[in-house]
Amino acid sequence: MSFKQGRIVGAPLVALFCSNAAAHSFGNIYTLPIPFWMYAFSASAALVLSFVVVGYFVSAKSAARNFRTFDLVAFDAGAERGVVAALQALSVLALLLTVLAGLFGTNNPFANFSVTFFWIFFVLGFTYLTALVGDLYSAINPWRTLCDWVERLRPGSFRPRLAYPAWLGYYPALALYMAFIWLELFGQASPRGVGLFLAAYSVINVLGAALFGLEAWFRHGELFAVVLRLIGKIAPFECKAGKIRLRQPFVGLLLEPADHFSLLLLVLFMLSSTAFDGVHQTLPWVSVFWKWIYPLLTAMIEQPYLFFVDIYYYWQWAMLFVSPFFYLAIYLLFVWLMKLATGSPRSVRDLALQFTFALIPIAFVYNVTHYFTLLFSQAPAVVALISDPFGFGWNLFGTARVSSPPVILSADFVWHAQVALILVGHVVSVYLAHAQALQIFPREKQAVWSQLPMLTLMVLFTTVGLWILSLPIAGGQVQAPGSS
Amino acid sequence: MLKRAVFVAVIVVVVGALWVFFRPQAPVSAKPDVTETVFELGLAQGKLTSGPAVLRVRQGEKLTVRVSSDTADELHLHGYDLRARVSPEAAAVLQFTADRTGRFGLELHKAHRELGALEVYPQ
Repeated sequence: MSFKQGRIVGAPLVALFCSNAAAHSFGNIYTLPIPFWMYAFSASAALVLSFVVVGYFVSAKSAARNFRTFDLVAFDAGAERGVVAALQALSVLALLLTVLAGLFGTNNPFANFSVTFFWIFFVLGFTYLTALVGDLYSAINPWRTLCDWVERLRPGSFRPRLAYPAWLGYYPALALYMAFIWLELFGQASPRGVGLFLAAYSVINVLGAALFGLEAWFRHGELFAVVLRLIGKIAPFECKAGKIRLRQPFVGLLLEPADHFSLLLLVLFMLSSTAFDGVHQTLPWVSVFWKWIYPLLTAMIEQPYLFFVDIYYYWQWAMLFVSPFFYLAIYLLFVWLMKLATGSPRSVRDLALQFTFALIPIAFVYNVTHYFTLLFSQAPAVVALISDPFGFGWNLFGTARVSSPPVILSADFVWHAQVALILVGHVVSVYLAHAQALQIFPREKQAVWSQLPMLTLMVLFTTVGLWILSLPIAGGQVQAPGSS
Repeated sequence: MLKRAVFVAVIVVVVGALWVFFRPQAPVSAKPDVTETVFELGLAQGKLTSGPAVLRVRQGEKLTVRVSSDTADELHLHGYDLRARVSPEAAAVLQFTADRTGRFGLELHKAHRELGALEVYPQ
C-alpha cells in the first residue's frame, strides 16, 4: 500500500505520507476546522438548550406521549407494484453497472462512474434521502431483488436451511459495517476496490440468504438494510397497509426499542466511527502516537522506522474497532446512573435498549456535518460520468464533455451549517430521550430525574463531536518528536 | 400547539443570543485592500524540506507560491485546480488570489504525495 512509501528525512523530521489525506475514502473534503468561538458558542448552546427541553417537558408533561400522524396518500396496490418493480430493476442495474465499471473500467477514480456513484451517491446521498423520505431501500434493495428473482424462477433456492439463531442478532451486520467503515477510512478508493468489494459483498449476501432464508438475512445481516432501516425512522413519512402517512419527523425512533444488544452496538459504532474519522487525522490525535507511543516502542524494540509506520496503522485500525466499546462503556455507565436516579426495577440492559434509538439523531447529524460538502464538490461530476461510465471515451448521452465544476461552499457557511445541524440533532435526541422516559417510567418525577444522566451523556457526546470539528488537521507530513 | 411554538421561539432566541455573545468583534481597522503573500517551498526527492507544510492565508489575499525541486514533477493545488510543472532547472510558480475559503491539498502529482495544504480563512 502507498503509505509504506514513508521514509526518514533527516534525523528529527519524519515525513509520513498517507494515501488519503482527506478524511474520506474518496473525494476531497475542503472544510476547515471550526473556529474556537463557534465551538464555545455551540457547546454552550447545546447545554442551555438541553435545559430548555427539560423545561418544556416539565410544563407540557404529557404533550409528547401522543404522536400524531396524518394520512397522506392511499394508493392502489397495482400501480404501486409497477413503480416498485421498475425501481427494483433500476437498482439492480445500478449495482451491475457499478460492479462492471469498477472491475473493467479505467482505474482513475475520478474518471470511473463506480467510485462517485457508490461512495457519493449511494453511501452519502441515498442515506440522506432515506432520512427525508423513509426506508425506500427495503423495497428496492438490489441484493434482495436479485434473490427474489432467483426465488421466483427456482422456488426454494432461499428456503432457510438453518434457523437464524436469536443470539446472533445484528452481529453479522455489525461486523460487515465495521469492515465497510475500515474500507472507507483506510482502503484505497480505486474503482477496482469498489468493484471487488461489491462483488464480494454480493456473494456474502447470496450465501447468507441461502443459509438463513431471505427474511432473516436481509433483516439482520445485510448492513445497508439494517443501517438504512434505522435512518428511515427519522423520516416524516411512514408506509403502512398501502397508505403513506405523514408523521412528525423523528418520532419513528420512538415506536419500538432496539430489539437486540447488537443493535445498540451498531448505533454506537455509527457515532464512534464518525467521531474516529473526524479525529484520526487531526494533529492532537496523530501526536498521541508519534509523541507518546512511538518513543516508548523504539526504546523497547529495535526496528527500522517503516516497521513503526505499520504499527501506527494497526494502532489506528485497533482504535477504530475498539471505539464502539469505549462508547458502550460510557453509555452503560450513564444508563446505570439513570437506573439509580429512578430506582427503576428494569435492568440496565433493558433500559440501554429503550434509549438506543434516541442517540440516532446525534449520530446522523454528526455524519452529515462531516460529509455533506462532498455531495456539493463531487456529485456534479456524475453528469459527465454517466455518459462514459467506464472511462473508455464513450459519450452515451452527450454529456461526457459537459464541465460541471465542483461546488465549493464558503467556510463561513459550512461552519454555521455544521453547528446548526449538530444543535438540531442534539435537541432532538434530548427531546426523544425525554419523551421515551415519559413512556417507560410510570411516575412523572421519575421521568424527570431519569433525564439528568441522559442529558449529561448527550451534552458529552455533542461537545466531543464539536470539539473534534474544531481540531486542526495534521498536515501532509506528520511531525515526529524533536521537530516543532 | 401554542406550547410548541413557544418552545421553538425560546430555542431560536437562546441560540441567537449566545451567537451574538460569542461572535468575535469585527476588526476595527480594515486591512489594506490588497495583501500580497509569497511562500517559498523547497522539495528534495519529492518531499518538503523547506517552507511551511500548511499555508495559512485570509480570503482575498494575493498569493505567490514558488516551489523548487530536485526532481521533475507536476504540482496540483486541489480546489483551485491549479497545476504547474516543476523541474530541477525551473521552479514552479503558482500565482492566484485566494478567493475560495477552505482547506486545499497541495499534491505532487507523479509521486502521488500530499506536500501540504493551503488553508484559506474567511475575512
